[in-house]
Amino acid sequence: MNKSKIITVIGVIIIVSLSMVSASGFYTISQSISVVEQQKKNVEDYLNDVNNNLSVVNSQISNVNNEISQVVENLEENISVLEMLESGKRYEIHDPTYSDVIKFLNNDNTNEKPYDDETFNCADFAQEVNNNAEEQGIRCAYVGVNLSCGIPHACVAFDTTDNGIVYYEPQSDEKVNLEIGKDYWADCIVVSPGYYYERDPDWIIEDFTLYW
Amino acid sequence: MKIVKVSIILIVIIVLLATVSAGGYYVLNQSYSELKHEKQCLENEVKITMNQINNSNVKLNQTEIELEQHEISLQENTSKLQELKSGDKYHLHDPLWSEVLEFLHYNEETDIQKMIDDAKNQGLRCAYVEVIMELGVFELLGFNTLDYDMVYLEYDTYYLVYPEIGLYYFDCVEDLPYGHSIPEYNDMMITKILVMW
Repeated sequence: MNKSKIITVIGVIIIVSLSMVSASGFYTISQSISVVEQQKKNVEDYLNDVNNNLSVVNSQISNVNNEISQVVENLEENISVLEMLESGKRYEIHDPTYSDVIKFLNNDNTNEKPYDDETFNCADFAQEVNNNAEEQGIRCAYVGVNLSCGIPHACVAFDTTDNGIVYYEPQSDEKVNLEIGKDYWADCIVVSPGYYYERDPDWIIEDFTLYW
Repeated sequence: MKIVKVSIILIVIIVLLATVSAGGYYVLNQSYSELKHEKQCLENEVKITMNQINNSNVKLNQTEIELEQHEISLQENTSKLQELKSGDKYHLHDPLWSEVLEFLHYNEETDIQKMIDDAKNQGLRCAYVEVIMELGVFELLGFNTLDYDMVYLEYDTYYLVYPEIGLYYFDCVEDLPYGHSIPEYNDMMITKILVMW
């Protein structure tokens, strides 16, 4: 074998070896790149999921915050209503006993006021006794009485716990046995012995209404 | 001479091959490094986002607890409110205007006496009001509201009335649904207002 052939063979061997090493290196690096690319893709997908989760959580926070705003608004409204209601007076009313009524009327001085057809008439008397009773926690009705003369009259009533409904004439604190068809003054007023009211066809009771 | 030529050619080929290989390695290595770097960046981003999610979850929990506390307060207030609004004819309170409106909304009565009874049975302090004129009497409902003070209402139309002694009744009705009173008709002038609680 001559020298040039030997050199050629050695050269070819070197070239082939070099090529093989290069090819295997390329292959290994390509594989690694593929693996990293796949890993990168996985991480990207995971990041997308995580970002979606973050969006969901943030939107949940936003919803809860909106809900809180609504609840706080309702709460503030409620508190202002509550404060107003708490500031208002509470009225404890009770139906009195018969003796409570007598006691109340004895202590009430409305009947001592002078009657004036214009400024302080029967309706004013009844209004005042009714409201005085309410102030003392006694349930009292304003009674509108229609008389045959067409002019209405007014008295008061109490729903006593022991004697049922009792009527009183607030101008005199006299008891009234109110009955339709009877003369209000002559028949219905329970007068003290020796006293009486004159009968008058204009004072016949046509009907009456209780406003509690 | 031939040996030298062959040797040169082979050396050139080997050098070229080595150069190409080295270049290829370099480029591929660069890509590999870049990819790894990108992957690392993405992983960092994932970590940051995960932290954000954790923080957001903590915040969400806190916000939910806050909401729960507010809801409990609201519930307590609502039941207290219902308690304050409740009542019967023996336990009355001056109402809010909204309570009056609610009462009127559900009212089916046309009789003032029954309406007053109904209002009181619901715990609303309600007055029977007589607006007295020479012509006669107009009956009204009266409420001493906590937010709008005393209000007077026609029991059949629910018109608001602002009665004043010396004024003509029709002029006292809100929005003048009956028109203006005619001054010649003096019998429509209010002479007295009685409020029976």
